[in-house]
Amino acid sequence: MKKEKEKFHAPGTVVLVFIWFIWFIILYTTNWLALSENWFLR
Amino acid sequence: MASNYASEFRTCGTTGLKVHLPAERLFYVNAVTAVVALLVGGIMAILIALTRWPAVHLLPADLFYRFLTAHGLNMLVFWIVFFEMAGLLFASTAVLGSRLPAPWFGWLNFCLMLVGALITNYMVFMGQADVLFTSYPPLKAHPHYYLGIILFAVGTLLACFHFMATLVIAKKEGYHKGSYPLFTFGILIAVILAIFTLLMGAATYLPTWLWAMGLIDGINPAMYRLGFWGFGHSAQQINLAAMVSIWYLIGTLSVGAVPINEKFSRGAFLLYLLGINVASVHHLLVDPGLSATYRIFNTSYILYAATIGSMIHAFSIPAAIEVAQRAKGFTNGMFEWLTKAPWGNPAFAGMALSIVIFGFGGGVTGVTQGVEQINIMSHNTLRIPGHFHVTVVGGTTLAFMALTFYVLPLVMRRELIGKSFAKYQPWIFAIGICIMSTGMSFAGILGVPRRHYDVTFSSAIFQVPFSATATTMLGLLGLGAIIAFTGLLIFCLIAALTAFFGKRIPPNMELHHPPHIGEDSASVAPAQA
Repeated sequence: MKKEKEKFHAPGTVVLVFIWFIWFIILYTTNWLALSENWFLR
Repeated sequence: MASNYASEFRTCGTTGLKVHLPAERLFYVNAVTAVVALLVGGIMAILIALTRWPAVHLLPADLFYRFLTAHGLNMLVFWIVFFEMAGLLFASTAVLGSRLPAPWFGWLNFCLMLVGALITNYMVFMGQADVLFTSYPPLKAHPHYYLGIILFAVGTLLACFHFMATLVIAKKEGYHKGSYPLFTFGILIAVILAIFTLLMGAATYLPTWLWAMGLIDGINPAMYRLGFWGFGHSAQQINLAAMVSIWYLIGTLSVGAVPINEKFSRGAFLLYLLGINVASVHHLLVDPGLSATYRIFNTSYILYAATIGSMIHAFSIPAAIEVAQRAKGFTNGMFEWLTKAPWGNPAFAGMALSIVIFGFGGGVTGVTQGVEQINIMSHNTLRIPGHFHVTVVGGTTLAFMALTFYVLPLVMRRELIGKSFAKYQPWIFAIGICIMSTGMSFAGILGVPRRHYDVTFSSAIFQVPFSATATTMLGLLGLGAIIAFTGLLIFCLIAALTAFFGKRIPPNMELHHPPHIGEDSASVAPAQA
């Protein structure tokens, strides 16, 4: 188990991936929000 | 048989790669032609950007559309494909230590591509093809314009077959055993995508050529658009596969990064192969004639296969770099491996910036705008060029530039001229592209259309009011373009000065037999180079 941990140890990359993921969620949600404000349902 | 070619190899002093000299010459001409195309496309780019900046509004209308056509072709097709042809030669010969099966065939396809590119450019600059890169019917160009593109595509297709023949030779004659290295595998995926792309191009351009000559009555515009994007967007997926392969290669060359799970990375490349071509339908999201089910299935579902592939690479490559850096002792905190990375190496800096710009800019905007509902808001606005400039320019072009800094000494055997400038080049180019794309994206969000000479309609009876913010964003586009163009000029200058005037690195000529014949490293006279 310990050996496995040593084999792949890239915590910094995991943080970077989460930063990217949060950025994606913000951008994606903002676009749908903008759509909802510009595309009225009648 | 293979031993007949043993004296045609040299050994690279830095990497130890065995380089087949006939392949090296072909590599050289392809790379130089690519940089010339980049320069032509870059000059067109700055002129267009300074026209879209309302305060400058540089070009008259006819030249704007002419130069926009030339910009699209030279940047999206000629620069990138010539560079990829150089990449094909590198991946199949130098990386595998193999010979090129038929150098004459390589020269034949290079000549076809060159003649095609020259004819197309000539027709555009003579004003015979003001049809933009997409050349949607009923816009009609001079028949020679289509002929030029067809010749270029045939040359490229032959080069793809030559690449595959080299892979066969490498195995058959024993130059390479086992599975192909990840870089070569990635390029192989790019080649498979290229064959599909070029066949789609043939299916689109051949009838259009006949139509331009008056041999057939008309072209169905909807069919043309479907076929064109099978060619036009798939061509960008070739770039994607090539760019990711280059990221892996530079990671290995610069910090000794080894993919953390090679099978996983290969699987991600396969996702490109399976998902990316059908996702080209995102260009047709607002086209009539296609059912909503067809459009949404191909974009909002199949597109994600490719997206997952990119996400795997975007995790795998930084992780491989982090593992390699930590193994060197950069283990303090979460990010010492990153802060102590070789940022002074322009190849590493270019690769890292390319990943960031592609991932944070191109990737997320692409996935968002590829959703049908959101596409309705962004279609034909400047948001679309805002997306693909951080994909193809900030991503692909920057990665290609980064690789060039390795290639110049490695393949061209020239010492780099202007190393201190080279250190800053990726940063200048990347900052410029980011500013430019930000300007484009926000102007697009505010409704500014793409491919438009004068969005203010200044000489029209009816004015189209855009907010002051939109005008500011167009100014930002112009400023970013000036900075990016400066970076591009520095790159072209370094590449040209090094290629023609850089101090020669003497070739280390060594006999190179395939391993099954046996290594004989007896030196031969450099005069045989």
